[in-house]
Amino acid sequence: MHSSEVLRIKRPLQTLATRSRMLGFCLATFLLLSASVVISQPTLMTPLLDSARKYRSIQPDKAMNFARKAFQQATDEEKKSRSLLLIGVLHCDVSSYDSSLFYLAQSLDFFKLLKDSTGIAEVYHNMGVAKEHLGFYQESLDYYQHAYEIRKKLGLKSEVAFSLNSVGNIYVFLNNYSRALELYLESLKISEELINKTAIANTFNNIGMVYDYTGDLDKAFDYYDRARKAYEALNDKRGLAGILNNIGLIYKNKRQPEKSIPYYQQSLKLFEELKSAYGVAVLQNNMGVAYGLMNNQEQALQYHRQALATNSKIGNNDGIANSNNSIGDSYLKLRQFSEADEYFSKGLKVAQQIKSTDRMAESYEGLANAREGMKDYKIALAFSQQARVLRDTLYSSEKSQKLYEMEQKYESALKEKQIALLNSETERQKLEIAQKNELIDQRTIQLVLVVASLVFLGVAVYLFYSRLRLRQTASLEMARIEKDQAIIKSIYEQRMNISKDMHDEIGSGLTHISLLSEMITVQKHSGTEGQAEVQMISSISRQLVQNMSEIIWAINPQNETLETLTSYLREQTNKYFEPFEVNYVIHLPEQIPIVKLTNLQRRNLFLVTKETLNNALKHAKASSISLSMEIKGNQICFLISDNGKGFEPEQIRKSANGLKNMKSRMSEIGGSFGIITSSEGTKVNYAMPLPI
Amino acid sequence: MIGLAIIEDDEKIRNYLSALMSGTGEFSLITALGSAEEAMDFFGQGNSHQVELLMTDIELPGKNGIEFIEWFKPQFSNVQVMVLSSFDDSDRVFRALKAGASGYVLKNTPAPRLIEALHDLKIGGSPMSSQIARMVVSAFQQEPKVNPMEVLSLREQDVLHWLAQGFRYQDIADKLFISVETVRTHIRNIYEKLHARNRKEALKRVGLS
Repeated sequence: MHSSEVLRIKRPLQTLATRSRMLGFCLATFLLLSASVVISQPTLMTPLLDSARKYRSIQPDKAMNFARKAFQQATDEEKKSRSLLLIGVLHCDVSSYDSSLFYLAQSLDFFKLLKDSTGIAEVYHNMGVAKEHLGFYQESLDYYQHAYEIRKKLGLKSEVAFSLNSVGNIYVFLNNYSRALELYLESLKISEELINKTAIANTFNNIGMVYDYTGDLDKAFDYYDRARKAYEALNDKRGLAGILNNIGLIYKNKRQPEKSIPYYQQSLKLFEELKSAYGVAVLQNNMGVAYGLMNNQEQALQYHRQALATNSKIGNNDGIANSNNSIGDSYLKLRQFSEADEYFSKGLKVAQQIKSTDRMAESYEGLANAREGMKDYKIALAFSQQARVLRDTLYSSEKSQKLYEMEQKYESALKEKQIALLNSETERQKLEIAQKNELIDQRTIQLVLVVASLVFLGVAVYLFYSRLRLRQTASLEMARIEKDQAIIKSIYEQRMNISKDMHDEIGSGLTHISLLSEMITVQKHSGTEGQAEVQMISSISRQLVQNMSEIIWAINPQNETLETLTSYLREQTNKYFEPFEVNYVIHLPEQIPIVKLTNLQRRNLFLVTKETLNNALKHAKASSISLSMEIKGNQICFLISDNGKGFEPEQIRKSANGLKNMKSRMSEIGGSFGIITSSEGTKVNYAMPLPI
Repeated sequence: MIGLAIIEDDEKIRNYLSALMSGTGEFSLITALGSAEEAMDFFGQGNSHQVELLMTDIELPGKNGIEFIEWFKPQFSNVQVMVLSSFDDSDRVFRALKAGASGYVLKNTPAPRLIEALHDLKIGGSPMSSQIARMVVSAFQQEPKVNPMEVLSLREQDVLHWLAQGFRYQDIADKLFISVETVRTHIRNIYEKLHARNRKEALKRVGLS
């Protein structure tokens, strides 16, 4: 039926898609960073360390044993620092990030003592890896950038290439794709110069990732495939595991989740062999997402639980928040709202710890849906507001990002144009001079010079104007964006008002009806009839339809004038009083200036009128009521008077809330509300300024 | 006994309406159908002769109520059509009226009022809300009229004007010094002119006019 359509509050955003998307990138990042550590071990220290490095991506346990032995047998600071660094890296590989950070910090002390900048950069980089896997992206970015600067200063080309990839990955996490792509391309250039195959493959993967994220799936697939072939040729298990996952993700984004599962399974197996709990967690999550998309919530739940356990084991906070949210999502789909509520709350707590607005927004959206399912509309509303605010900040940061990209494009286009123009200019000068060379005519040269300087002047003027125009376009664009945002804000406010109205006017009535019908069911069992309840249900539901059509009336943009308001008031007042024995007079002007009212203004004026008429009839028991409206100066003034018994002291207390409500409705639209009451009758007047 | 047909996809509401109408003793329920397609089969096979009034929902699976009325009304112009709507969604109600309905009623109107509305429909169109009247006015203002059948008389324009301001039939009758019955007749004529205009528009759309 139509009614159920209208009453359903829609989910604000598709959280699932964004969530699984982010995770894909976690993985892609992972594979890159670890690869970078392998290659960037510059000198061969001892046979033990050599063996440790050799076994690193094949048998992690063995590698760790060799590294430990190397440390025990280390005779000088240099060897100690090197083996501590490797122990830290190996801990990172098996996702023990806290241990990794501990060993790295120790090795950092040694490197500082030795004034070994290469080593220091190495440590910073790997601290960045650990922080990244723990979900602290800002700290991670700082470490990576530190390492990058040192490496650049030292002229360590291949390390610089790795740093560029790592920094690029963090930018992907921070949704700055154009910056990430720039960094990747820079890195690719260096790796191609050095013919570093692994690095090239890694960068291909990363570029594919950016295309995947920006929706160019074919290009993404192309890059992934090139990376996959390279890893196969290199027999790089780590790389292969990562790329298989990323290919699986492409199928997910193509909405063929069933095709992604075999890729995920292969990838998961490789990560298990490599003992990378981080990789395993990512894959468990991705499997869960795929099953969720295939609407197999039981399987999805199982995988997300596994992912949560794995993430908890390694302390990946971003992963923990994500897993909790995903579990909540599955429960939502299974309509088990209190379980969903529990997991989203857990997710929120972790998301707040790591200050991830993305995850927080997801949690709030989930909580809003769960509460909605539990019929706790008030709290649901508050949560969805929170989510909205967070999403808005995300949105605006994306916007400013767009602006930044545009700026970049303009600047580079401008430079190119400038260079092109200058080039063609000098070419022509050369040509002309060569042609006239034989004549060696002083005047010709002068003429050429004049022409040349004129042309040059022309170019200068052209450039000046094109720059001016670009600036104008940019500021126009800015103005357009600001206007868009103002519109979005006003739409948002209107939606808030509508949802508040729905909640107040419809929600409580529906709850009442459901309770009454419960009572009837119970009474049926005990033998008594539910006649009174049935009557109640019938009258409440009729009231609900009335409320609903009032809300629809106020929202409908065709009803935006003052004249439509008076017509509606006349009609509704007639309808309202008709069944009663009451004399009523309606004095509404038939000629009304064309004035536009906002949704809120007409809704509030209507509700205050309705409530006042209701008080006169029901509470004051008046036998004669008059409703009038006139435009006095710049005010729209309403007056409702009756001959009822007025407000008795007891009544006043009861209706105090109602009066307060009417007052606040009027002040909400910049108007006033006054009441004079005695035992002979009541006069209520309310007014609002005439909108211009 | 007035012959009545009902189209409503919600089985519970259909059963309720059927029971209500059969119980009055004033209507004989010819058929109660669940979709526009079923109804097109039913009337297409020439089962229309007993039907005087037809009540139809707007939201239906497959073809909706408005599309059904567009199909139905030109062929069975003597059957009066009433639209059942969940809410006072004036835009859709107006489209149904334009398509050929002569009245509308909300689904949970109390039973006596529903029966009253059906009687009104029989004698001349059911109440027109101010919002609908406003839409009718602008529908007639949109283009210059040529066919006298499509031009509203001055009296009809007056009636519409007051309806659009939210006045009751009785108020309008008093203002124009005519009887309520005459107001009803005017309204019926307004509905018919609206349908005629719409038929012409419909033909225009497919390029046959």
